[in-house]
Amino acid sequence: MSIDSIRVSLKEDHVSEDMLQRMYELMWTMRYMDRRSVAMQRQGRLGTYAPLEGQEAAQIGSALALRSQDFVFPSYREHGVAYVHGMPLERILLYWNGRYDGCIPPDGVNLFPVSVPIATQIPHATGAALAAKMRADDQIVVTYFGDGATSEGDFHEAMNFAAVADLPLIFFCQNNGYAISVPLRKQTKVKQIAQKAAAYGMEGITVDGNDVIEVYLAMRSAVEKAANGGGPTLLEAITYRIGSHTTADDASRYRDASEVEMWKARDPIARLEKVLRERDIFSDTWVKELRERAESVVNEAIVAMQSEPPVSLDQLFDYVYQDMPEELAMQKQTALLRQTKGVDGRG
Amino acid sequence: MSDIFCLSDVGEGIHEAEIVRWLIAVGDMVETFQPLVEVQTDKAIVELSSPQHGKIVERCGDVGTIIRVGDMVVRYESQANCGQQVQVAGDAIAIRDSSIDAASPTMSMMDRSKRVLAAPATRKYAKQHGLDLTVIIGTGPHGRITRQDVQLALGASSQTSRAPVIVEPVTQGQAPSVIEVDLLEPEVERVSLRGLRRVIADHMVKSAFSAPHVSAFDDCDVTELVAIRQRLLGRMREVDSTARLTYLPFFIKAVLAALRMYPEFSAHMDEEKQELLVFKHPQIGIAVDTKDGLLVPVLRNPEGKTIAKVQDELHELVERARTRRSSPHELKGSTFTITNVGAIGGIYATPILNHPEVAIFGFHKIEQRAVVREGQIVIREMMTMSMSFDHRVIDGAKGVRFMNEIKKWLENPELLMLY
Repeated sequence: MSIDSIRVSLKEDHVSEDMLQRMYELMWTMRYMDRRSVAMQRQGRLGTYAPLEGQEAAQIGSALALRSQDFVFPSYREHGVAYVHGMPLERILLYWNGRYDGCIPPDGVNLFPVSVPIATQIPHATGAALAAKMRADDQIVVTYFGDGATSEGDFHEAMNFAAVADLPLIFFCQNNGYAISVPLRKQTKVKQIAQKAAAYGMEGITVDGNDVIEVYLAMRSAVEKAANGGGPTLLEAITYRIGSHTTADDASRYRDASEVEMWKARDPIARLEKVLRERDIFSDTWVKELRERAESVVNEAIVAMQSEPPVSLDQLFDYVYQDMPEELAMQKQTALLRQTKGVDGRG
Repeated sequence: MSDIFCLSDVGEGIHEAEIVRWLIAVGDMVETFQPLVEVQTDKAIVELSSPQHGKIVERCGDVGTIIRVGDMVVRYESQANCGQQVQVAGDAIAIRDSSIDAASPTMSMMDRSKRVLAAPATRKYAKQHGLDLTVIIGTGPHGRITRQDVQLALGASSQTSRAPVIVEPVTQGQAPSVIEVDLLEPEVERVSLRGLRRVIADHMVKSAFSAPHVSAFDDCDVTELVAIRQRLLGRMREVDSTARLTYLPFFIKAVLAALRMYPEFSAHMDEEKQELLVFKHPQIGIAVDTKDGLLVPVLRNPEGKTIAKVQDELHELVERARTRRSSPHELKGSTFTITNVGAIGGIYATPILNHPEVAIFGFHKIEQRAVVREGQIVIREMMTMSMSFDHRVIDGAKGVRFMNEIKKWLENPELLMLY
């Protein structure tokens, strides 16, 4: 399909009105939290941050199709997926605040910690899917990654393994057109990432990643297929990040303003709003309430994040090894000593 | 809540940032998350918003000020009832009483000290060493007191030749004017070169001190061109009453025609390899005056385009440059540059090459002048032209021949239809 064929999907008939409204509220919540997070990074309240604005449909749509027992292996931009799958916003913020606690989901939330090195989470997910299959658990695994990850060896090895072992695994690629600043055409020769599935005898599907309904339905069938022993799927959602790669990046150096404008016109939230209006389930009062709700959810998470005690240096050392090696223990001691003496601290 | 908002590392490894635009003024009440200021880091221009609500009582400096991570960005009115300024004044007096042999300052000194500019770290440093900042004249932008100033002042028993100057404490009653004369430096505003200005400065130095420039001048009878432009514009207006047509498209066509004869003028000089890169398809840079300084957007592949098409593209290109909306690739890749300052004035100039190009052409104003034709004094529309070229690769005779070629096309503008 062409990403230019932007039209109101007729597939929404397969999705309940409640679900449509829920999608809208979740997308709105994530956008609000996303903008707040960028601002907080500038204020020094978060260490760094990877914005997701523009990719809400791909994330919310796919995560809503998961069952709570399913296991998610995200990269660093999947705050929307994490939230829908049960990770409290407060913990997501804590992660970007540099806290170890931000990696720990509440009990029963099957979410792996964020993987920043590109594509490294894909083999992890493959291992988890193999475990689920060997244990005959009613669990499927999904791993999220970007277009850049599909040029990494980890991706190819994991794809091959998952296909040949018929694992209950979904490879979910958010193709936002850029591997940081490298545009897709300079990074891979294929027209669609989904084509790469053919090399491993796997099914590859491309969807309009800014159409939350299309993403949801495609993900739902991939989950069903995996859960019923049908094997893995590579699902590619074509989307666009409106902001920069991270708060340490300036996307205007490598993207034309006109391109960003074009994608703003394909805003996933505005598109769902169109559907809701056609179904007559969109009213100003409803939106007002929803926005207030979203804002208070996010603001409460911010307050909760801020009220955590200051981060301690121990965390940097304590969770690297099961048993801390001698050298690391010495380093830790020195670091703590320097900290208390303020040798190189600022005043 | 803290009374000051400090700059944090806004981009993984940032050490400092430059103030680009203030979005609030001193005295403003701001809300949490209200945008305060735009700063430029090594990586990007970013907007800093307020982490709290409150009244702004101090900003760290004017546009162009560079602040380091950890420095104050803004100060809020103290949450406690007594104002922060009162406390500061109290501290300052205490220091004066306890340290140095200071007497109370004169009125003129009070004026000077009304607003001491210094980073919090500098203030702290001065305080630790018992130095009153109001008696120092800073050497930073707008009189900002730097750490170095404080250090100099502390060791200033041997008076250094240049500022900072310790203002000799004077007792009341002494005529302040005498001191004023000693202390007053000439009224100078230090304007640091920042942003685009800095880029232009570097670029010009690189060009002026690598390529030996030669300039040539001539004038050109454009009476026919003036008439043709009038006719074409009339025709364009029949279709679209708002149509515009400047002389620049004609100049570009004339340059393109001359470059067919002399392609080596559309070239880059590769200094490292000592090679001349001659571009088969000229890309024309257009010097545009913006409020921040000179920009040179590039008219892509102008060959074979009609006058109207070139006009259209130019209009868009120049407008985007003026409003600083040009995309980065629009400002790169020219092979020959035109500077068209006729509308502003002046009859000649010695343009500086757009590095690494080897020629630049300036078109100046068109005016009616009395000239001699076939023994008669007649009134003609005359235009002056200036050109600079890189003498390493173009000799004087060739430069003048190239100029003659442009002149030929402009004086016979009907020929411009050819290409």
